[in-house]
Amino acid sequence: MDRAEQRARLITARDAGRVGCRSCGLVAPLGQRRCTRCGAALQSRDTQSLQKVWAWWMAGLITYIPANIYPMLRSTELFRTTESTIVGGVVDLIHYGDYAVAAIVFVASIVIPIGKFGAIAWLALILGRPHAQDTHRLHRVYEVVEFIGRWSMIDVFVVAILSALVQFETFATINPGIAAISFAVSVIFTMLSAQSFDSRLIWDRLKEGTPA
Amino acid sequence: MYQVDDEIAVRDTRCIRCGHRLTFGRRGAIARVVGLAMTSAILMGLAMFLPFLNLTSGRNTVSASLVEVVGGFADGLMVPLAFAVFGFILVLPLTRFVLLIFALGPVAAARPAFPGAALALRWAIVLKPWAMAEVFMIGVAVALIKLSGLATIGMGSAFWVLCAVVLITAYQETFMCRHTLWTELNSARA
Amino acid sequence: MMTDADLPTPEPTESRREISWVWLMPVLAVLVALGMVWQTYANRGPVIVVTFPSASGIEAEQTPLRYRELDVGTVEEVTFSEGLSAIEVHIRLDQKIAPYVDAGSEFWLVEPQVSARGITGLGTVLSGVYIEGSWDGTPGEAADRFEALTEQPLFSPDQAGTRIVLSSRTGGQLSAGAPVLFNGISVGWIGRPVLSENGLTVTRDAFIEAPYDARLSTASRFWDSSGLSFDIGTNGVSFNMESLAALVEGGVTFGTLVTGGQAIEPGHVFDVFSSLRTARADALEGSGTRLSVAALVDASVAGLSAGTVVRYGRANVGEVTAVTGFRDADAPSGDMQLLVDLEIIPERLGFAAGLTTDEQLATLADRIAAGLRLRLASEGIIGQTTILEFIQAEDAGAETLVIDRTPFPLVPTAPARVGDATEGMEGLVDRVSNLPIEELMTSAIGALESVQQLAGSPDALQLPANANGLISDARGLVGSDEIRIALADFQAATTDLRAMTDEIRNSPGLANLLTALESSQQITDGLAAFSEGLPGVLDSVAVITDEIREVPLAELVGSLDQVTQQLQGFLGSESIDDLPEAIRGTLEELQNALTELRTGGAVENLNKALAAAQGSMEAIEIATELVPEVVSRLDSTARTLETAVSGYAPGSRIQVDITNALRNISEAAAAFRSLSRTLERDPSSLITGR
Repeated sequence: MDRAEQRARLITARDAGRVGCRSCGLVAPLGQRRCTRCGAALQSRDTQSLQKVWAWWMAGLITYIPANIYPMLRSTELFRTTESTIVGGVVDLIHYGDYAVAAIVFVASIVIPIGKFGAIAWLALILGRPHAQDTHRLHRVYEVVEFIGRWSMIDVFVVAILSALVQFETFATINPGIAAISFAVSVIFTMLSAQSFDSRLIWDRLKEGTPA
Repeated sequence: MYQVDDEIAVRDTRCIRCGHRLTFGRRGAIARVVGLAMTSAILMGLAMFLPFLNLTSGRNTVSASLVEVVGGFADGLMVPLAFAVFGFILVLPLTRFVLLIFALGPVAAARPAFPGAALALRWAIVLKPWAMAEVFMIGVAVALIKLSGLATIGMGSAFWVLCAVVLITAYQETFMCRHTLWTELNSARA
Repeated sequence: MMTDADLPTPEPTESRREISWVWLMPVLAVLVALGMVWQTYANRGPVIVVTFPSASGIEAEQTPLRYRELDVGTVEEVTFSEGLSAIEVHIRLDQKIAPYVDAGSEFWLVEPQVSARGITGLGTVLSGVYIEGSWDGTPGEAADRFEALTEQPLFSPDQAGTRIVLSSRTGGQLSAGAPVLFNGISVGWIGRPVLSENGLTVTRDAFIEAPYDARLSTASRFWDSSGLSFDIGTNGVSFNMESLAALVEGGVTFGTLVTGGQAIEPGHVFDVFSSLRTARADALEGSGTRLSVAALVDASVAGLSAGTVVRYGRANVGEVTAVTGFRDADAPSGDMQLLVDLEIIPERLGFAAGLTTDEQLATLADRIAAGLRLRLASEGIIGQTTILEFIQAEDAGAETLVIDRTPFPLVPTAPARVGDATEGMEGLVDRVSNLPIEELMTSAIGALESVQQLAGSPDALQLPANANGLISDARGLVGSDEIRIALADFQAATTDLRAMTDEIRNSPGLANLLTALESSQQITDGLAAFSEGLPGVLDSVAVITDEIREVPLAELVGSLDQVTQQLQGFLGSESIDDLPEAIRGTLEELQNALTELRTGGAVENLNKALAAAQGSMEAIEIATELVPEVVSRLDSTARTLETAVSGYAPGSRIQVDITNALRNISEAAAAFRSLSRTLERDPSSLITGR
């Protein structure tokens, strides 16, 4: 059978009166509460999915703001204390000619989070109402968002390493700033937001006639 | 070209002509998962206490193990951050390994599964995105580059051990076919 | 199309093994883990425990143990000792260094401090404190518990050299870490001063490095070469500065000043003398035993301080060690007195050698009963140098050593011998400079010229040819180039010296000091040259006085007589009122002198004058004061000449020159005096300018 034919023969579990376990894949009758194989809660659709998405998203956005305003790093060199925010740190790195590192930090701490905010918002908005988008694209966006979220934590770990290593009393010390916590929390929230997506929603709201 | 049906797929098969492995039987996969999980767990436990990085500036050398790296900013306001970092890079990965071993160990040894194995396996899978050891390694790389101007950095033994753990975990992931794992677990429970 | 069913199926291979290869991995992991752990533990050295009074800056896992600037261990743990009395620091040694850390090892904390080696450890402000250890290069008896030293030891066990003890009166200018010099090079260093129990002496450990310690013997003497030393001696004035280091932190120099020294043991006690001169004096005169006594003097005496010399006759028999205020406990309302503690060498007082302290005190008591007393005296030409001297008092009552009233036995005192001032240089100079000589002389000579013209008798021209010749000789000599140059040099020298002392005092700073010292070098060269030329001059002057004595002065006086009569006539005239009062006084003096000459017998008076001149010369200490000696000789010579040949106007040039010289000398003397007082009081004022 070719793909188109095979596609046409697709039946969703829901249509078949069943529900698939999101955790292990076993199919069970609709209405069953727990998967017999893995014990995960069974839900045909997570009706609160979008609510959760939005909630976590907002939390992430709120904590992202102080993460950029407050300093991420506080470094003391011989009585001179400098504080640098995320953006400030990137600018400094560019100043010093460390383009590679600057790019990594910039991508991980600014591009990815903002991209995630945007992507998740876009997905949530689209899936909140009937849409006619290409499902594959949507799904791919979803996958990417979910995969890439954790990599924003790079900067937090960098701060951690620097703080742990550079502790030479008067000579040079580096300590984490408030933004470090705020940023870590923001990343956690956005990861939870992406995870809250019930990806099956992508196909639910498809308008009639749109190829699945 | 071969035809593989389900029944064949659950066992190890080799090409008749060259001996190259075609499918990993369930038994093999699970064994690998568990074995690699154990390896990772041991190495990670080792890496926690060996010196991770050392920074030499002038006459002073600061050497930090992973535990010290985390403990380094565990005072006052930064305690939650310390917990978070510690959790993501050490606790969660280790927990994952332990859960995998707990859930699939008996299966690999052809014994009945422990009670709660299913829960363990589920959590092991759920926690996968939250175990950020490899993100940490990239972060370390960035930090090293940032510090290379300031002082001489030396990589301690824990660094290389952690690298190995990351690689082993990645390799292990390739065997974690959910379907296979669940099927095997199920049959072991029954 | 072939159906799928036609494809062969892969051969299922049953794994021959139940256990797959993958299980090697964990096993490998375990082995690696164990291996690494074992390696870390096996390479560890042993732990030693060092006890510190406090844990200032010592951190577990951080603070290193260093040996010769290399890390050889790390502090593992910092705990309290039993009873919380001290801190126990557990240090893990590197395995390689462990065998060398034996029972003789010493440990101390290196932090910024002033230690036996001076100010040390400043680098630790940035790098953090560390513990330093020192041990020798041979493994010895093992030990694992140590007590830390409070500061870096004076020397480490592996340094070759000798430890000695230096004893001196005061803490003085010698700071810890100051160098010990030999021939100008630093051969060791001194440690921290420790006050002796009786509070009178300060002892310090010092370390002399090999191979220089071979030069130490019982004949070696140490003297304080801190700062500048300032000497007026038979060789002229000298400034001495050993080195910049010695200038700032003090220093001690040693030398072997006599032959016949024997080897010394480590810990041998050497005295530190205040200057090379006193050190040499001690070496030459031989040391004897020391006896500590005391005396009570009036509190109004100035110039008594530690270091003041005690004499017996012309010999140094000891020195003052301390001067403190003393109020008699029995008469609390009495006046404050000064209690002077002194240390004498009884052998130089004529005591027998080998006596015990009690025997010496008994002998002293006997001598006191026989009239031995202490009294104050002043000596010296430059200023009032106060000394104490033992004398045999003729009419002393029966007294004895008073014991128990003061820490040391009291020697009874006799009234002070004061008042050589009128015969000394200062009195002379004072008298001279009190007269407005220049104006006086000018007007007097003018007056005398007119007297001469007034008198104008041809008889005056008939003065003995000898006298004439004598005068012209003297004039020739005194007006000679050598003395002129010498005087000019001296004038220049004193001017420079004055300017220099002003400079030193007014502009603090080492740079200024060094420039000043450079010019002082020139000055001392000039002065040295001057004083080299003087003996020749002196000899000539001596010749003159001899000649004077031989001159048949009777005829001279005869003509003088005539002059006097004319003078008296002149004086009686009314025009005398027009002359200034002072001139009149001088003329009256002259008149008296001439009368004396006439009535008393010219030659006799002249002899007396000469004798007085010689007497005053003898009063001057020959060993030192060359310059004022010359001046006083010149002065008395001039006076003698004056009285003999006062009519001769050309002498006025001599008078003026001599007067100028006298004035310069007195000013220079004043400057010297105040400088030496300032230096004595506070040598550092040289640098700080205060």
